[in-house]
Amino acid sequence: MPDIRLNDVAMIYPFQKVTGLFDRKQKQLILEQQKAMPYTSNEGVIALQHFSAEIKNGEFVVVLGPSGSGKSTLLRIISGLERPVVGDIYFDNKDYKFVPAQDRDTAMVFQNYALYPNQTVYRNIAFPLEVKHVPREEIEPQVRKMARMLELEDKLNRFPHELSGGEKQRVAIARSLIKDPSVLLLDEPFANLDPLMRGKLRKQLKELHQAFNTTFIYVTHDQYDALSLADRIIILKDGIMQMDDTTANVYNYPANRFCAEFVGSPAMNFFEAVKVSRNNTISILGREYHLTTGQQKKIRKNTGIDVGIRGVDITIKDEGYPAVVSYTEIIESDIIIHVTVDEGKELTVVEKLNNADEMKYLAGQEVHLVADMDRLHLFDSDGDRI
Amino acid sequence: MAKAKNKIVMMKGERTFHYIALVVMISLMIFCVVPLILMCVVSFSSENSLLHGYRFIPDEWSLDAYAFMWAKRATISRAYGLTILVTVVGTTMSLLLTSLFAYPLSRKDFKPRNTIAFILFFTMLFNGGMTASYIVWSRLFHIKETLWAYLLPGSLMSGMNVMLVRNYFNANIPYSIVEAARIDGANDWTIYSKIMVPLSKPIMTTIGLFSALGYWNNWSAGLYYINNPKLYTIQVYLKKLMDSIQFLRTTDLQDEAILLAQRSLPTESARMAVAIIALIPILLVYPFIQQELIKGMVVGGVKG
Repeated sequence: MPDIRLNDVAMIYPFQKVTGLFDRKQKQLILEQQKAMPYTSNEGVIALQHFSAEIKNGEFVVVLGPSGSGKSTLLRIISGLERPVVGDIYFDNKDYKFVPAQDRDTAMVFQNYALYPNQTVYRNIAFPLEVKHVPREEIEPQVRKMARMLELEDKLNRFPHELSGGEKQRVAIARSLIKDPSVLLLDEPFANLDPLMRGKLRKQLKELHQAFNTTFIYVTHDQYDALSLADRIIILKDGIMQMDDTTANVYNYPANRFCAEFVGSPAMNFFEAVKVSRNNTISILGREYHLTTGQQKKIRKNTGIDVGIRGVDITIKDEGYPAVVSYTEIIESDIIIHVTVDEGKELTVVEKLNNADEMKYLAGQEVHLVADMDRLHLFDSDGDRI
Repeated sequence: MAKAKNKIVMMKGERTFHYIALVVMISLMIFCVVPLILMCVVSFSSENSLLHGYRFIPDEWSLDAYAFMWAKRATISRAYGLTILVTVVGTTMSLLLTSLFAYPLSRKDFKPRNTIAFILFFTMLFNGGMTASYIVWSRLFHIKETLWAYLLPGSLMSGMNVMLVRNYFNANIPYSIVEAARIDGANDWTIYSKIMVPLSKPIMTTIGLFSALGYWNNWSAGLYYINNPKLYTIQVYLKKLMDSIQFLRTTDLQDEAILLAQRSLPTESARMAVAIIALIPILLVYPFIQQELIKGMVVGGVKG
């Protein structure tokens, strides 16, 4: 089982050629629109740039990012479906840049399942072994074992169009794991499934990871998937890596403002351009925080800092900073209270929901907030953590 | 009440369109079916009753044409067998080559695909013409007086068919399936044979039928390249038969003997009888592939 190392990898997709019944002016306009996209070069749209990372054998890494952040491109580069424009990819120190997909010991689960519609579930799962010319008598027990693990035993003779979304994805996972790959790549596998099925499959995936001890690289824009599955999270934005750290660190110490906003639900509360006083203190919700020496060194003169605090780190007490409840939401075991402070500044506060709490906060009600000053996240004007 | 529920409710314009479409379709159907019926009737008419033209109800019915064919059964069955052989082998080759050409053109990672597609498209618009083709096939490939003369020129491959299959691959088979197969370790041949071809039955049936019809009805190849009667297919035989009759008709030697011979031989009806016999296999096969054929016709043309 190899370690994977990506070294300064970049991927550029050429601008789409404008063909068809457009006149020259229109063609020029379309090309200019493409060039105006956030990250472009003369050659095309940059999907990934300066990406370096090392993924250890057996790790469960989640690549998290919004749509168009380059996460699927990263997966396709690792799988061999795309060759990076620059940079290298190593499997156990062997250069794999020019090794085609079929010769890499990887497997992939696609968002749209990508099952072979003309083959039964059994044949779908057996396919990777069939193409390796494994004898039939050896294939059967392996297929049955995989089907047992993924609860597909009674579906083996069905065709993909006779299965539900969750079942299809389980077949796709079984197909990818049957050849015992050294790396399993999952491209938003649960995006098309309902929340109940997602939860069930998340658990199953975690169990499979422990059972197979294979490297799992999972791409998603869903932070729930990321936080619940990953040993390590890589956050991407516009093709640039924002953070690469353990799940706890990503949540507790986001590297920049984008990570802070992207991870965690509800989104982190932010106080923009907070002024630092002469004695290096800032004031948040009526309480003061003294900047550490390290933080003091990082801040630039004359610019305020952005201060973030998660909803769970603000509590409602009898005494504190006054606020007015706008509305409340109940999400699973939490009650999310949207409040307004000062002149219309909106914040969210998260509390655990007790049976009696449901009607505790009503719109227009005055409450008092207390922020946990040890849980503040400070960012400079560029968005970097200080 | 229940009856009314099952009725399809149509707007006024829709209903008018429906009726017009019905009239057009029925007229087209009549145009197609009437000659067939006429052909069938003529083959069962006596030669005398055809002297004054074809009729739907002849003065005299006769089985002479079929008796004539029965007498010629050795030649006709040989020609029939050859036609079947040429059609089966030709269609198989045509399907294989067309789909093998279309597959790489459908692959996004095959860089020269646009250039090759352009060259292919070019052949759809321009070709060498009959004389040049004849010289190339006969001098360079030496296909004269061989069965290759039926197989190679003309129906073997057409740019149009390749484009249709390529479009079908692109529009109807998700590319992620190809990628999944690649990652599963499949090589291009496995992807082509185990995934692409089984998933494109409708277009393959359509192309196959077009190609089979092309081979079955191909009389020109025999005319250009074949002189040996042992290598005549049924269509070539039919063509030669027609030419002979025409010769008897137009020749200046219209003395009594020839006239008699002409009268006693079933000429017009034999022509139709051979045509009927040539048509039977197509009529037999068509109902079984009709559904796939319609699917293929509809989807193959999507996306230029």
